Amino acid sequence: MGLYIFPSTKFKTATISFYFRTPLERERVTVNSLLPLVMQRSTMKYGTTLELQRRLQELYGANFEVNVSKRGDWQITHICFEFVSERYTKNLGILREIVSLAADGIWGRSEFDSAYTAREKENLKSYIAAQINNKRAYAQRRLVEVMCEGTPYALNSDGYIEDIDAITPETLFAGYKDVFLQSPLEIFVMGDVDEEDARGLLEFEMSRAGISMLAGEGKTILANDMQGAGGALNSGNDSMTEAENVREVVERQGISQSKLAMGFVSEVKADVDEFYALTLYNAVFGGGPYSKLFNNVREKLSLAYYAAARLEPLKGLMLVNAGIDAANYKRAVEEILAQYNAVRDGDFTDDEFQSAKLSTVNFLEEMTDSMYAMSDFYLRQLLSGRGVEEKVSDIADKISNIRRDEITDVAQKVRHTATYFLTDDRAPM
Amino acid sequence: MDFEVIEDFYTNEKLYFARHGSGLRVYVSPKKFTKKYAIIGTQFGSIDNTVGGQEMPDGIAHFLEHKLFEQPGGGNAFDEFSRTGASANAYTSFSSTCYLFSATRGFDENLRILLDFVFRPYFTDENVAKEQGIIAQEIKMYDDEPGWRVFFNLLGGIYHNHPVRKDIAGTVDSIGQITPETLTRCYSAYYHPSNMALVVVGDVDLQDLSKIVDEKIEAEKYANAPANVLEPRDAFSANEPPTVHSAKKEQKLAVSAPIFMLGFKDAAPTHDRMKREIAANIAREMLFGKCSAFYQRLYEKGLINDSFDTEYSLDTTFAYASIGGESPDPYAVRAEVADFLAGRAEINDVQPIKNMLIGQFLRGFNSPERAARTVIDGAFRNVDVFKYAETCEAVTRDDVIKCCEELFRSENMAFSVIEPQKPE
Repeated sequence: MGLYIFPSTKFKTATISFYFRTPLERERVTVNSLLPLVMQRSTMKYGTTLELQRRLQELYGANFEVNVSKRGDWQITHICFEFVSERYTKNLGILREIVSLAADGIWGRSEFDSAYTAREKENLKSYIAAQINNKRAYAQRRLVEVMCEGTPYALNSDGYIEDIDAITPETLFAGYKDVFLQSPLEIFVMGDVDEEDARGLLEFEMSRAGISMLAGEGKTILANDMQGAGGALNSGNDSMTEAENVREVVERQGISQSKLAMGFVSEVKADVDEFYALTLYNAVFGGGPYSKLFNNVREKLSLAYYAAARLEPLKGLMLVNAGIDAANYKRAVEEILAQYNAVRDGDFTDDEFQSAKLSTVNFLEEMTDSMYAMSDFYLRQLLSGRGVEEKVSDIADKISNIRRDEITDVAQKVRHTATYFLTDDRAPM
Repeated sequence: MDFEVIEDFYTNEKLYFARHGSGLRVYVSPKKFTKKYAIIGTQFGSIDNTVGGQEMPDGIAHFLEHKLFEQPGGGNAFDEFSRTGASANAYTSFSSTCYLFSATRGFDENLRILLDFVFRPYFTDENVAKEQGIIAQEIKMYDDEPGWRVFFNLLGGIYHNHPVRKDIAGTVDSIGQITPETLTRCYSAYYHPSNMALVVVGDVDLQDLSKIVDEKIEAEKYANAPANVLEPRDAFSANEPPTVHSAKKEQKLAVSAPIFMLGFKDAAPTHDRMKREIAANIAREMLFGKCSAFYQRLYEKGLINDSFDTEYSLDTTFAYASIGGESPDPYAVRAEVADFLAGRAEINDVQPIKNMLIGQFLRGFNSPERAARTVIDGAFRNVDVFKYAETCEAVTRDDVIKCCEELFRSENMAFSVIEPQKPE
């Protein structure tokens, strides 16, 4: 557990992010996904949604956002507050107000309102069902389910519709205690705040709630957390890496543009420095407008408006996605694989290599201008076991020093294991 | 260029402004972020579909945006930005087209690349044909996005003739009619520096910046500013009746549940625009926002969920308010809204909503992108962005009541619904 404060006056607001983590398990994901939705409805002090929302509005429209996601084999529950800083909200004591509202909202619970719970159960069903609406995201989600089948990472961190009705007030409250009182927590405070004030207020509220804060030792404690209930983060021998053949799944909906998603597995994850070679490899292959995929699939062959690759750092996966005409399925797959083979064979120019390198470094450096990007970055650094001591500039230096042969070396470890195609239900195959 | 400085003590922001000899408006926000950011835009958007009285194919502003990246010799400007590591992009809205980059190093070099490609069009039959394939895929991507479709169907319901009712990218058919000649005609008409603005966010040297602008945009070449190119926009308002075009638009898509929008047509105000915008934003928040009795009642009934949102949009020649989201029964929501508006809405204290709007305004300066967008939109709409907090404080409860009565009326309401496809 750790509290990390990064003050900066370049922002006019501040954020406080609470990240709770629990192992990804089918039995728990749905309850964990429902919890923050119910918690967002009211707190002890502001007992109705209307009272709570009116208070947030008075506080210069402070944001109280919740979401769940998966990182590696963890389900992350993120509770975040953003508020205009003291400087622009005279005499309001806004930091104190927000910290106390947050503590009340997170730890001050003895039960959950049954009407709110019932409503949020229905909302969660709609939310999960609506995942089919965003076709690009849906195709990538289905690809991961296919390529990681049977492992925790295949789970939907938003939960399962069929598991919602069975949730009782007892199981919900048990889940609450598990996530918010007993699971590892990281807190990041960013933006225009006074560091000592923020630390003092948060530590006071946590000790009041009986949450022990091991100030200053947070980073070393974490290494042990990693081997805790969630299992070793980088267990390495996931069954998906055993796959010999490429799995191909085609599904159909009534859509105009088909979505192609291709999954690749590497043995390289964010805990080792070789991951930075993989980062640069991904950039050369499909990272941006300087990449093989953009320049060939889009610019040369006009097959797509977007064709890109991204990494799942904690799992060592590379996911490619493109929006194409149904009739171009085979051609697009062949071209993407041709570019994959080209990078593996070292068939990329120095210009392409340098552009990818400088763009990757630029991307990393630009993250420091966003509080949300930095919270996310530090969370990943902690989850991968690298810790917050490794700064963006350290990583930029490591990326800058990567040689061409390191790209082709890491490329040998990247294997295509699955292809998912979401296509029009009228298109012939 | 001689810069004048505008300082705002409320936001703690500073802005330098100068008009270049070519007519280009130049703004610099000396914010200290890690990256520096520049955006150049022209007042040429999807609604500007005529040149010298001749109609152009729909989607040509957006097509031109794509094509301007093309360089003589077959390369594109993306490659040049990438060589420095900069991240570049562009977008086309209803009334403007903008080109931008951000970079942590090499600002001067990237600014040269930006100004070079924006002022050096290169259109050929081959590169136009290639882009038709790419943009066709972009159009098809949007055809599957329910949030985009419900919005454009709504605009089609609100407007009879105003070109805002047409999709920004056009259609696969209309972009098929675009040629190097039509692109050149649009470029010559709308890409004159006097119709454009450049905004830089970052602690840059103003002398160096002036030198680069002088070097890349020759003032003499642009000595003769064209007659008011935006004149055709006056006709948009003149040809548009105050009523809505159709009360209902429906479409079926592969979605899990119905998605709807309700729109309220507003007359685009010609003066006190910022005040009108703020009053309308307070009104929509008061009536339909999360703190309203209306929102809470429909939420508890399960008629709306967290996806419900409200908006007021004010452009140069059109304005409307909208509310919408996912609902199991959009028709019931519409009936609730009609009933609610038929009664007398309760207008409470407006101060908490003003606080919220000021909070959102301040948040807009948290990133170079958003700060630049605020400044360039202000330049094109002819409003002084730093007047926001002051104007907001001056809006009274009576202004909000008046705005509610004028804007939120069942008679000027349009309705757009995306229904799930039934499995066959």
